[in-house]
Amino acid sequence: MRKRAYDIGVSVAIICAAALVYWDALKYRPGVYDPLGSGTMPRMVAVAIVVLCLAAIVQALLARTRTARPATTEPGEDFERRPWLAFISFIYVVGCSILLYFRIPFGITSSLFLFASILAIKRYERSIIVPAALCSIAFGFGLTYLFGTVFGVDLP
Amino acid sequence: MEGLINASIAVLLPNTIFFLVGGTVLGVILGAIPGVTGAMGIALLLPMTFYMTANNALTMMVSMYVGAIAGGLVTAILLRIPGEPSSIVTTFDGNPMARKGQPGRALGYAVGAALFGGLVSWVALVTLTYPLSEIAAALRPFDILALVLMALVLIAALGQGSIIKGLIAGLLGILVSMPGTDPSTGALRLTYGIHDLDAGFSTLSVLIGAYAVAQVLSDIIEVERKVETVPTTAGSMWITLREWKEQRWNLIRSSLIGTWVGIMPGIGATVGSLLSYTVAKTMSKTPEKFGTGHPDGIVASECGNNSTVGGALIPMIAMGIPGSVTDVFLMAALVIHGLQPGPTLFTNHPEIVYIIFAACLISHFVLFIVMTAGIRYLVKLTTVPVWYLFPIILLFCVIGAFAENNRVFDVFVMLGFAVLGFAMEKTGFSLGAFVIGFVLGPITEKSLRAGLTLSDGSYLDLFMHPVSAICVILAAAMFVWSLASQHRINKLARHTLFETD
Repeated sequence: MRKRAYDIGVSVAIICAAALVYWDALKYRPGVYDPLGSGTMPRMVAVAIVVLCLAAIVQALLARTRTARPATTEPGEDFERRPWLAFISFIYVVGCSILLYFRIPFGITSSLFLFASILAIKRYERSIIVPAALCSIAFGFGLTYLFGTVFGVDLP
Repeated sequence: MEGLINASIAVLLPNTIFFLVGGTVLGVILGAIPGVTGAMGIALLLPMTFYMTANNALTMMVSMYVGAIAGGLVTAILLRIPGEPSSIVTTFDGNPMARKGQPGRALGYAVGAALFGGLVSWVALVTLTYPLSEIAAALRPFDILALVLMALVLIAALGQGSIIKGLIAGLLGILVSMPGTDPSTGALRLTYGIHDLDAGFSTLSVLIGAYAVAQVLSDIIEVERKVETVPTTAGSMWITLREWKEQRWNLIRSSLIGTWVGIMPGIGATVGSLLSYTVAKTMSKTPEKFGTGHPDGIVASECGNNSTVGGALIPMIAMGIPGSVTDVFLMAALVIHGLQPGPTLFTNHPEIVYIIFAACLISHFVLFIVMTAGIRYLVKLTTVPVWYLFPIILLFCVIGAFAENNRVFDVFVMLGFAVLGFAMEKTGFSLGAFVIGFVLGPITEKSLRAGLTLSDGSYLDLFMHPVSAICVILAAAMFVWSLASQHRINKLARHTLFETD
């Protein structure tokens, strides 16, 4: 039931996105020498996506599935899944990108990102602080030198 | 032949051989580490190739491709965790043999089979690419359109999840390729007023975000997974000539199957490996031994797996259609260096094609030497602490996305597609289909427009010529067959559910 609702929700979201593209593509009129114009292909693809999503919704409604298992562990596994860790790591990457946008020196940005990410993965254990700091500084400034000086990438 | 010899000499020059050996070793390492794939490695390597010559860049990427596909067998055999998705089938017999106290033998069979499969597919690459490119040059726009549609249906049918979701993913990929400047009219479309989108989404940002970052985020969720390794030594990998002779038909058959699967656009090594294993088991006199550590199973899976490499390069070079998801990144590398994959590559830049051939051949031998001599060090890779590896890979992704155009906007695009790629993986949409749709989007639109211009706006022309008609009929048949198979599986699942309830 939960999977069915999930599939239907995702299909509806894709339909909305495709409808938005279709509506935006309506304003591209074909030119004199180009009967198709810029808008035809996006409209065709958007319509095809909507039709397939409707078929996916029908498929989800007709399918019978069991309820989803809890996310943290699966039977037979001896480790704990950590979905929140992926979210935290992603937030750290976004933070790194924002610092990059404000032209904070990349050596500092990358070192901070690595340090924060390593600590998050190791559950902020005290014993990992010093190795994480050393690793972060080494790789942060090392990669900045490699890409900035050796490869010539215009990093801040 | 002269071109191939000259290219081989060029690849063996000191500065290029460095990239070849380095690429192979790096590919094996990335392929061996669970959670890090060769495709991810090639995606991360792409920005570094901006500053290399086309020869060195392609040599390194092709050799990394070869290394990564084979590298996955190490963890597949020793840990029952495939380093590459295509090594899943090797776990069926490789790990049981290792647990019986014969890890070296399992590795020996796998590495030898990888070399044989790679060499057979290389022969096919060298002999079939040029004739296929001649055929591709003669194709009409509607023929190319039909081929692309068939490729998308094929990927969707054989990928994860339902075919409908696979097709949606492929079409989403095509849609994502459209924002920016219309190549035919020069008009801006679907940019929503964002000037950074005038040139469209950066290829690297989309590929790195959807494939590499999304994969790393998925792996971070399982970062607590514990691995236990089976110890082995290089000396125990020796397989006698008599034992290889017993495998001769299995080797030849699996190589041909893998090569053929590689040629089919967008399918990739996993299907090649699975199909070879299934056929070997069906034709075996002792099928009950498969899954218990049978050498035939290891040979079939690794031979089928590695022979897709040469096969997948054929449509990429000859037609500009990627044979696998990894070939998408190779195509991106060609475009970055101002080279257009497809039939014109042979006529305009034959030296590049021969460099790819030479790199593919020599890297297989380098791979054999590296895996045989360095197995004890490769085993240690399985204990690499991922708590610092994953953040470093994410940092590489940020730099990679930034490096193409020196714009932070591309980094944000990468993050957006990382979320999309992660969501697609978790909801059963094929990421491979999405990425291939993205790369083939421009050629799809160009073919449609040119075809409609030539046919005076008639879509019926798609069915009037043999090549396009056959491709459309095959695509439709594949779609119906896949839907019917899915319906049968769902019916069986409902029946089983009913009984257990």
